[in-house]
Amino acid sequence: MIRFNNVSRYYSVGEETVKALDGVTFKIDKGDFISISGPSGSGKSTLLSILGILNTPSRGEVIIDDINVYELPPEERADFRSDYIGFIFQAFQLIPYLTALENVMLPLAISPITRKAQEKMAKDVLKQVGLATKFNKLPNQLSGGEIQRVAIARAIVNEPDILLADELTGNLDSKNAEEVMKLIVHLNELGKTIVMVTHEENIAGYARRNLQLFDGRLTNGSTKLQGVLK
Amino acid sequence: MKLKDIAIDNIKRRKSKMVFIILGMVIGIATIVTIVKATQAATADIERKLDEYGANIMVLPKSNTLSMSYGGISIPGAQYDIQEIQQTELSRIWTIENRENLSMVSPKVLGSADIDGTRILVVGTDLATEIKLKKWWNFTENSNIELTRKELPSPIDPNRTITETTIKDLQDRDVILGHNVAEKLKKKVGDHLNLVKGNTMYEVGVRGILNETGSQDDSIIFMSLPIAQTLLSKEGKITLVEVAALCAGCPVEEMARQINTAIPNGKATPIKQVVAQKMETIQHISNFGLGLGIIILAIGSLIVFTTMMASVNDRVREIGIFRAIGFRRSHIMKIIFLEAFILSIAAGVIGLVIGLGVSIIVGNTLGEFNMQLLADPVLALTAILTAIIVSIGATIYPAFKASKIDPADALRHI
Repeated sequence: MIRFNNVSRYYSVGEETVKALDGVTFKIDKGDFISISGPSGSGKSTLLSILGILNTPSRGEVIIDDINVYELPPEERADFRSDYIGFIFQAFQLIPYLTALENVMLPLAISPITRKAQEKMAKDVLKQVGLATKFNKLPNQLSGGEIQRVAIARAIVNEPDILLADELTGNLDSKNAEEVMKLIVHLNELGKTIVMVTHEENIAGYARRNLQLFDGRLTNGSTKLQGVLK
Repeated sequence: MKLKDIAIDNIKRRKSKMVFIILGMVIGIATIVTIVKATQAATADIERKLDEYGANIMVLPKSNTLSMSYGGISIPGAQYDIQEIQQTELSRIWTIENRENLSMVSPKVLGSADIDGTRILVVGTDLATEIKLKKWWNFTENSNIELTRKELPSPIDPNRTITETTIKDLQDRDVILGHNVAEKLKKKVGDHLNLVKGNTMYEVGVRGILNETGSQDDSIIFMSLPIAQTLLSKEGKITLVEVAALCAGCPVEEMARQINTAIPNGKATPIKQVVAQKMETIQHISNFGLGLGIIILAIGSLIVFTTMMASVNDRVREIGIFRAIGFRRSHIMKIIFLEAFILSIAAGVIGLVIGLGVSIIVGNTLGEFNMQLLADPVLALTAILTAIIVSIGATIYPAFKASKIDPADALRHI
């Protein structure tokens, strides 16, 4: 379970203080599928980075599975991130000089798992996302949809409980976006907790609940979406 | 995939930058290796000559002021025909405290004599001892000297050898002619020479002729000490004494001091002092070269620093991703250090090979040293370790900076 207790994040811009997040409180159950939406600058990405233990809040606490994650020492936060959280970014963020297989193996590089076992795990997840024939392709040899599927494979290869996705269909055409979202829904069905930032209503419709942000505040608390899985 | 694979991938990807890093280090390491090797060769060459020369201490009459050359080495403060050491004093040399280090004591009388109408430098000495001392002497094929030399381990320094020389049947009336003397007098082995002293004539036989040595020995006639003393009217007198010590590292300065005390009329000078100036010059050149190498290495480390900094700045996004997927700060530092480590090993090995190559070329063309490509694990290890230390040292800040990259900031720029 994830709990945000009165979380705020302030940035100083010159002499001004910008409230990127302002006293946000919510709860996400294990296996839930949440979308976070709101206009540009509403604090969506800040919320996601705080949830991903990448951005220390100015106030409040973030509790994941009863662990107050920002009370952990920095190196343990990295370990926690590695064990619990998988990131999927809008701009894919694959390492351009590594093949699809190597990109997926990357999170395992810091584990004691042997190279052979790493390779097997990475191949299994690539097959799972439908890229069984693309192991040795470099990112620039793949289509946008394929790249995003490699990014998803990388996010799930070490079997994290939580998947964080930032505008994961933002750079995809509607057909590829649909394919990717089906994959995300499938992962949620397999028990992954998914938190997805999007400004696209139809994409938000895939989630079970939606959090609306405006000027760093939750405007609707936690809304049950009417959207239907497509 | 392991962290080292990421480091190797990065090196492969940034080939030109990495070549630049290696080049900076290679020049520095190669310079240092060249200087060290050349200095080692020059020092070994001098030590070898010193060993070949045999005598480690030269005892000269105290009052001599002019210089003379012997064995290609200038001995300041010697002039023959002026004053001599008394032969009776010599036995005191064997009473010095470090007498166990004494190998040979070779008293000599020097002077010029008219032989067959030609003025020739005469050296009177114990011929057997002289042959033992002059290990580099070779005789013409027909010389009647039964000479055997054997290399034996030194009883004092097991890392060195001593030469045991055996000579058969040398007589008092035997003489050895230098190469030029034999040519000038047109003498060959078995011929006789008549040495005239006033109304007395001494007949001596040519027992051996030296092959050309390139030294003053070519122009000398060597004969037994008593004959020379008589011929030169220096009965009981000694012009100089060569003293051979049993080891290269023995306390020759201390032994010289002891000989000075034992023979008040003599002035004992360690040959090492004579070559000290040569060694000092080599040391100056070596220091200059090492200084130059260190400066080049410093420039190399600056190149490593700037290139690594640039590399870290280029990879902010990549490092942000690494951190986002769970890499610790220490993992990031490890990747950067691994890159520097791999490059420094390459630079160390290449620098070592180039340095050895250059030292051989320089040593064999410019110098007269016998440079050989010998395995020198200490030098190899030092070269590679130096490259590693300099590279890692120059990478500390870039690695630290990389580890401090805030993933949230890095990903915000995505």
